[in-house]
Amino acid sequence: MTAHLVSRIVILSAVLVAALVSSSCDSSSGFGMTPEVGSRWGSGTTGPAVIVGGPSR
Amino acid sequence: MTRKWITTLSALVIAAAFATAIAPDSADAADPVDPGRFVWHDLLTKDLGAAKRFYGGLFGWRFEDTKRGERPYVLARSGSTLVAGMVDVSANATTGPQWLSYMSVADVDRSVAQVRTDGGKVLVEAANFPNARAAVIADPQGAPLGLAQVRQRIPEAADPLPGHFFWDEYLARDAGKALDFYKRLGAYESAISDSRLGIEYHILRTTRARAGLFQLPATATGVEPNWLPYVLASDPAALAARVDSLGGRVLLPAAPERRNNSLVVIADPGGAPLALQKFPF
Repeated sequence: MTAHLVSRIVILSAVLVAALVSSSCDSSSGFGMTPEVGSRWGSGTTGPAVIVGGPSR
Repeated sequence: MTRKWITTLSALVIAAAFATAIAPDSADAADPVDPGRFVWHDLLTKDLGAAKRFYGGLFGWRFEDTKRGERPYVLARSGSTLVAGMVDVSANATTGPQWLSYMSVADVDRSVAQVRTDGGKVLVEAANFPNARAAVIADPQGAPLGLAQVRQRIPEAADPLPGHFFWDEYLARDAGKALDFYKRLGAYESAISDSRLGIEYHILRTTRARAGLFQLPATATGVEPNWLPYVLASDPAALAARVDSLGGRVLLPAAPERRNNSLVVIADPGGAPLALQKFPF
């Protein structure tokens, strides 16, 4: 009975630790760098009328 | 005696779980960088609230407010997966709303030096982040691009998922010069996958296809060379139909002459362009 209870606590603890570490890594993801660079698609753009090709794997 | 043994075992299991969570697996350790792969996308915006409402409404993304230094920085998730960041550029005098793609490089300092040699500019000098060292450059045609030397491999889905970035495309003013520049920077090989209607579409490939590149036609006015990020959409036209009500606008609607109705290009409320693509198409 005691062993069963302890094993459940162990599993829950392991899951909690993994989740906490994962969350900590996630929150430091990304960059947030802020270059001074103007928009590349201006207002009133027509864009390419025809687009061929496309993504590939 | 049994209790002591169980306690010891418990400690070992917890320690193992912790180590597993923070350590890269052996495959990741063997190839943590994967040069040429696009590993992140940040939205540069002057209205984080409007951006959250737009992308939350369009893709169902959820958001976490964080900071980078003193500047607000929002992380976006699709399901449980981190897909993007959003940064407030209100304090920047000349920054226009846009998505900034980050390409993986083996050594960001060496790549930055190479960019300078090859005629580009450094917009933000290299800096250290918890998971990478990164910089932002502008290529010789003026297109901005982030360079990231990641310290740990970022997981990559075998197949792209709706609501996730899955492709980046370079719209060039001079495709030949752009190919030369990016084949050196990203260690790409290139091949033409389509040349209908006199437009050559180039696939940039490393271990797999990583990006596309084509030359802007002279008739495309108001577009400067740029990296256009792609989000996978099961039905781009259906998403485009909701863009206006969410505060954005459709720049290029679905049309037979643009990949047989499988592509739309939209702008978010701030004006940042983004492609929505069905794939396969």
